[in-house]
Amino acid sequence: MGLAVVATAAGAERAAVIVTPGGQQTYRIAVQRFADDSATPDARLVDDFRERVLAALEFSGVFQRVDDAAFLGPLTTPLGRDDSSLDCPNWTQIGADAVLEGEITRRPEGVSIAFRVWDSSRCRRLVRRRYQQTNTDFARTARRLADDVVEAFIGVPGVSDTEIAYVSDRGGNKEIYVMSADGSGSRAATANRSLNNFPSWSPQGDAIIYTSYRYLNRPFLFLSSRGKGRPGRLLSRLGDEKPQYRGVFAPDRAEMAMVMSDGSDTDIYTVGLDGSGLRRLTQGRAIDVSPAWSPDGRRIAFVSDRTGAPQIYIMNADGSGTTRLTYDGSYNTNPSWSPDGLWIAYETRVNGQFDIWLIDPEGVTNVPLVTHPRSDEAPSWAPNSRMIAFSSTRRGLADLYVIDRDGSNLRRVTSAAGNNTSPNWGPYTR
Amino acid sequence: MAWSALVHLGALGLVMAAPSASRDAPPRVISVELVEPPPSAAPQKPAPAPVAKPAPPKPPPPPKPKQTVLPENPTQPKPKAKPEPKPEKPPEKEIFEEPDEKQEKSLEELMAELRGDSAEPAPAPAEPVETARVPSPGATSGTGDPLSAEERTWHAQVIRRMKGIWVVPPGFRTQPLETHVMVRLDAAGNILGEPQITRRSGNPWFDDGVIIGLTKANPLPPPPEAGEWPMVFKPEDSL
Repeated sequence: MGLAVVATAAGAERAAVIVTPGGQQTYRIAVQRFADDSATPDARLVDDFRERVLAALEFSGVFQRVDDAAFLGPLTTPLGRDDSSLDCPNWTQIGADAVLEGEITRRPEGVSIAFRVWDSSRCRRLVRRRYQQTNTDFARTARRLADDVVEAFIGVPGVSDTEIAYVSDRGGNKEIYVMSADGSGSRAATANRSLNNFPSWSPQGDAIIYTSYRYLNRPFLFLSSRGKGRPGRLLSRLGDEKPQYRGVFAPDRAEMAMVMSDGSDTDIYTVGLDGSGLRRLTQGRAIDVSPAWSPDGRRIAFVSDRTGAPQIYIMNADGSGTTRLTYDGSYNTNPSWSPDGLWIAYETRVNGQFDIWLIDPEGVTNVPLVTHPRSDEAPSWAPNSRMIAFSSTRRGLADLYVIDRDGSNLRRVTSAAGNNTSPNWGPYTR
Repeated sequence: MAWSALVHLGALGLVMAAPSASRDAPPRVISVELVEPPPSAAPQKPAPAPVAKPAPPKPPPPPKPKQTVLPENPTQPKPKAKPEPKPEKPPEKEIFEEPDEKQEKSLEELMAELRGDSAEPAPAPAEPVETARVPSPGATSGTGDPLSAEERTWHAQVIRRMKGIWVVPPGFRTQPLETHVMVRLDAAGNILGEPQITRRSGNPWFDDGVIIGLTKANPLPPPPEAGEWPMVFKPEDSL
């Protein structure tokens, strides 16, 4: 390590102290019970809300809670307090880097939840916000609030208020499910007792394309929707002859990339969601599958066995300019492009199992992310580009896990029986 | 045909609905009142984020989150308290048949074909490539003055103390960030005034984390002499 020598104002030349991180990865946050300013205060609701906020903060990997027993300041935010200042020494003494306080006000016309988050070391109020809602879905507001607190400290919002679509055979058949990113609130999006796979979120998070064998026992693409899109089969105007293996929403337009077989050829196409504008992007006898859009919608990473073994390639969205991306490993597949555009996560086969690696789109940097002796597959990026969901058989059956981009903070997010696979992390819907 | 047209319109609507959030009047509204700008961004204008690696191009803008608020789950109303999935009605009026094994396998077979047959042995994993670090303007490397024994000891003490206190959340550790700070110390190691950032990392939250860390570490171990002492904070293992 070279010494950085810096001239001080006094004219002396001094070598800089070069500090690299130790093991401290999380800010310690003291979360108060929010004051309840309602006509009929509800202590249970306040406690439940606080627990949900704490859980979402800890899920972020950015915060850990300060235990209530350590509090020197009040456990509950005092009603009507002047929030222009805070008694910071009370909090720094107990090792709290951050303090979260707020109020919940329930009125007949709606609920208002206000909060402030403080950097107690420098005694600065970082964010003050108020949410208004007309329903009683406090769980979602708690996650949203926690994501905003994460943003105040690291500059990108947390992802607890996002969802992951995935495939599970827990009911006997492979069906599409949706859950919150932390694994809570899992529910079925399909129940057709057929074979369903490869969910792909719309850019708005209001619909999912998936592959299903429920029609003619052959794979075709379907839409599950809670927005304006009509649920049901897509691309029916293309007929029933050519099986469609996988569809992936384009990030920026009413189009998808899809894998379709034409007799002996399996190729990647782009097509409007209504089946218009079909365009074949790959040619030849090789199998071309697993399209993954770049976040700007200009390029598509995909997998091809054109050299004899599956490798990852990148082409322009019109099929031009194909370049090979991966050269290490004899079997690379399932690319997933990070929303910030910097990385492509993919799986690579090592000793008959799969590991997950990261490569940049120019192919310069290629590093392992998950290397467990069991199989780790199907990486999918969180919308803040800081976490990746994947499936792993490390417990026997396949479960879904999330891990931070630097390989830390591994968390299992499914616990139901059966195999849970093919995660697809949805966008922010705020 | 009519059905197809409906799908067409519906699908277009689906993707184009984003800007028209008002038409989607959601059953529940979260309105956000931003009372003040996000924290540290304000006082210190961030420099453009450094390019993460030598080769990769400037990151394209992340997809913009669109304004849709939609509590419903894809095909049924959102359950109040996370019930385990309940089979819904079979959604189709279309022809519905149980898939037979063979059909199910065709996809698996396709994948198996892909997976199966590479004759090449799997090569050893590549060595991770280190990111090029941005050279430090104003800092020269290794010229002249080696550290005195006293300085060397103090450096080690400061590094040990900062490692135990400075919080670097996951994610920052994989970015090529580097914050240069000048700290004024008295003879006892008390930090006088706020540490001055002499070179920003490009990420104001990372810079803020450095200042928070120094604030928490105050007082530092007593320096060889009172005065200004330069420090550089950077993640060790940038991808």
